[in-house]
Amino acid sequence: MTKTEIEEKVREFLIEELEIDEAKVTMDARLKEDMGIDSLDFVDIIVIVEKNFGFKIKPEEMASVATMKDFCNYIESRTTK
Amino acid sequence: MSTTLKAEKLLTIRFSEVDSMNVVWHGTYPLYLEDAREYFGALYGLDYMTIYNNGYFAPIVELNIKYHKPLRYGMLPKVVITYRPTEAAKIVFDYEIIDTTTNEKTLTATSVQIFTDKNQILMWDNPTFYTEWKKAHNLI
Repeated sequence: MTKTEIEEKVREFLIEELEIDEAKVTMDARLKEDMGIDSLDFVDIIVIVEKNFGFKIKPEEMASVATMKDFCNYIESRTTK
Repeated sequence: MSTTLKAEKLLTIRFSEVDSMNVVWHGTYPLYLEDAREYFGALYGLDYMTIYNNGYFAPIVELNIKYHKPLRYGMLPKVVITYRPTEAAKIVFDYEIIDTTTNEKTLTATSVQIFTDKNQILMWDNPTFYTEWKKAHNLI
């Protein structure tokens, strides 16, 4: 999966499944402060990511993920391993 | 393979639960829903003590209620509680409160519970005992 495809898929599930306002879903947006994603949302995100990208997020690996861009980079790093 | 887990709990409306207009006060209904959850848990082995004895708490993080018609003292309602299957580490229930005399729906609701460990750390993934519970009830 290319980086663009990853970004598109992430954008899609944030808008459609987590119902985040489309205008807020930008690459520089911060997950918590700008998009309102909190820890409870990760209970769903972990399932969505596993379905779409085939791996399970570990909470400790998300410590350095702050923005949408960080999140996509993290997924890319896990899917290219 | 999937199945539907459902339970019905009859309610007794206490005199102390109605307001001066003889209508059950809106803040009372979450307790009725909790009664139904406890009843469901005892019936299907997903009660609070089972969760606790496996090392977890299951706090409510979301509760949505629609009040369709008032319940009044003397009515004979029942709560129909239905487990909504989810792959996430959550317990989701749908509820209906029905007046058994008229069969009218008086309330619909949904609750979401998540799991924390005993240090109140959120579980992102399903606890093993919960996965086993889902398997035992043909939910996964």
